[in-house]
Parts: sequence; structure tokens; C-alpha cells
Amino acid sequence: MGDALLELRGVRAGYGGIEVVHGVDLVVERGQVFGVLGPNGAGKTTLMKVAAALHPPTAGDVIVAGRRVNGATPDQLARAGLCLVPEGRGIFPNLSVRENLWMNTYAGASMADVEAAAYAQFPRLKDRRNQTAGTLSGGEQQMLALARAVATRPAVLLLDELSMGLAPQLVEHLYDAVVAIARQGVSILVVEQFAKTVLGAASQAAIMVGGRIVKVGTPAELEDELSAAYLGGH
Amino acid sequence: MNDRVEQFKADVAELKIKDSASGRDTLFLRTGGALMFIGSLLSFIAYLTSRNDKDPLAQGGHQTLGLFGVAIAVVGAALFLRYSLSGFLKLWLARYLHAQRTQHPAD
Repeated sequence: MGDALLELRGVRAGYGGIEVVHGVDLVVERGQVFGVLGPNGAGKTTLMKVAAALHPPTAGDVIVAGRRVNGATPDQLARAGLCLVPEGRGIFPNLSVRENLWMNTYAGASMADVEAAAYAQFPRLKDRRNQTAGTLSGGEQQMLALARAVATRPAVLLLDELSMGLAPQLVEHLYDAVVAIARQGVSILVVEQFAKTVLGAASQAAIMVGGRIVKVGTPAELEDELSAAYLGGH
Repeated sequence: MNDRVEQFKADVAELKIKDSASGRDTLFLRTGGALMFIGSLLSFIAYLTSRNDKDPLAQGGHQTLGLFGVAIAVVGAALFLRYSLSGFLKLWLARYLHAQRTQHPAD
């Protein structure tokens, strides 16, 4: 077994007594891009929230860097270096790009370091640094969300529906950035509804349907299973 | 980056983690329900036994037991309401925030 930085063991979770994640196991190794693919309503976002401690599991273990962290608060994990880019980007639309990045200095980094890290990954944001984030294009907003996450120097990055509402070309560009981030040693767990986009970037992936992982393997191994999963074959 | 990962492992190892909040909530919820049941049962038993006892001294004991049962049931009801309502309100808040975000998206 390799060096797992994030591990979910038999995780179950739900809302108001309705279980939506039914015993999920997955392991994200150091520097790996792990994709979780599945149709809408499969429980992918809930799984991400459980991994980021935003939603408590009803059963099972969340293990980060070898330690069981059930009961940890989201800010504890974020400060340690587990960073979530939520579905819908989670940027502050009324603040400028620079002010959005400035939020990261709260964790102790200097503004110069935060900006250097963000603009190195996404040079386009430097030209827009004084623009209000809400007026950026969808792709640029996603870049900002990703840049903000990278600037925290995360060890584990959780990306929820990175491609949502974006043109395919932009999505490809974003996933190139994701692969570049993983090459620096960051472990990345990404959930996506649009499977093809992730399979090009991930080294390992899983198909999630109806709150269960139905198949885990390399992208090549999963391609044949995808249509069955999305069309109700599982 | 190796340094970063080692630092991450060290930071995670040092985290002071409390017991799972959801587990604690469930425990309090069940305890509240159990106390309500036990309190009501105690009061009912006190009522039944007091009917067959005409000794005023013993009646006082039955009254005390009945009141004790009511007190336990009230505490149980408060615990049950507190932890069932908090779960409901959390769900309501999540739905409200989701509806807000859907109606006023960032882009």
C-alpha cells in the first residue's frame, strides 16, 4: 500500500434520516488525482462534504494522513492543509480578485506569496486583479476559486464539479492546471458529473451510483462501465 | 512538496478532535426519548399505586414519586426537543442557503 493522505472507510451519510451515501470506501494516495464520477444525485457532493468535515458521517471513518478525523471541524482540516473548492465556486462576487485572494492571508501567508502562487498558476487573473469577481466569466471565476485554493499550499485538494457550466475548452485548460498541481505532490479528489473530462486527468477513478461505489480502477478500465452507470445499468 | 506533506501529517496528528457531534446529538436525542418514557411510566405507576392506598403518609410518597416522574419527563422532553429541533433547523438552514444561491448565483 502507498502513502494514503485521504481515506474513507465504510462512510455513510445522509440528511434528516435519509441516507444518501451507503458505505463508501476510497483511498487517495500522495500526488494522485482520484476522480469520482457519477450521475446527478449519486451522493458525490455529500461525500466531498464528509471528507472536508462539513457534513458528519452517520457511520464509517474519515482518515486523513493516517489519522481518524471524525469529529474534526472544517477549519481544523483546512488549516492543516485539506482544502475544498465547492460546487458553485464559493468566491465572493462583490469583492475584487485581489480581495478574494487576500482572504487567504487570514491563514498566515503574506499577500505577496498568495498572489505569486495564484498568478503563477493562472496568469490571466493578474490582468483582472482589480475586477469584481462576480463580473468575471464562469471560467475565470473557477480559476479564481482554484487559485485561491492553491495559494493556501494544500496537501489535499477536494474539487467539486469543476467543469459545471463551463465550455469544454475551458474545462480542458482547468484540468491541465489540476494535473500540474498534482505533479507538485498535492493529492486531489475530484468529483464530476461529466466523466470524460476527469478521465483524461485522473490516475485512478471510481464510479458512484445511488450512493455506492460500483467500480474502482484506472480510467481505461472504467470507460466501458461509464455508459452503463449513467444509463442505469448498475 | 515532501516537506509540505510531512508538515500536513504533523499538523493532522496534533489536531485536538472532539467526539463526533452527530453521535453526541443522537445520544442526547435517544436519552431524551427514554427519559420521557420512564418519567411518564413512573407517574402512571405512582397514580395506580396511590389509588389502592388510603394511608396519607404513603400517599405523600406516591405524590413525590409522581412529581419526580413528571420532572424526569419534562427534562426528557426538553432534551428531545432540543436535539430533534437542531437537526431540523440545520436541514432547514441548508435548504434556505441552497435556495438563496440558486436564486442569486454568483455569475
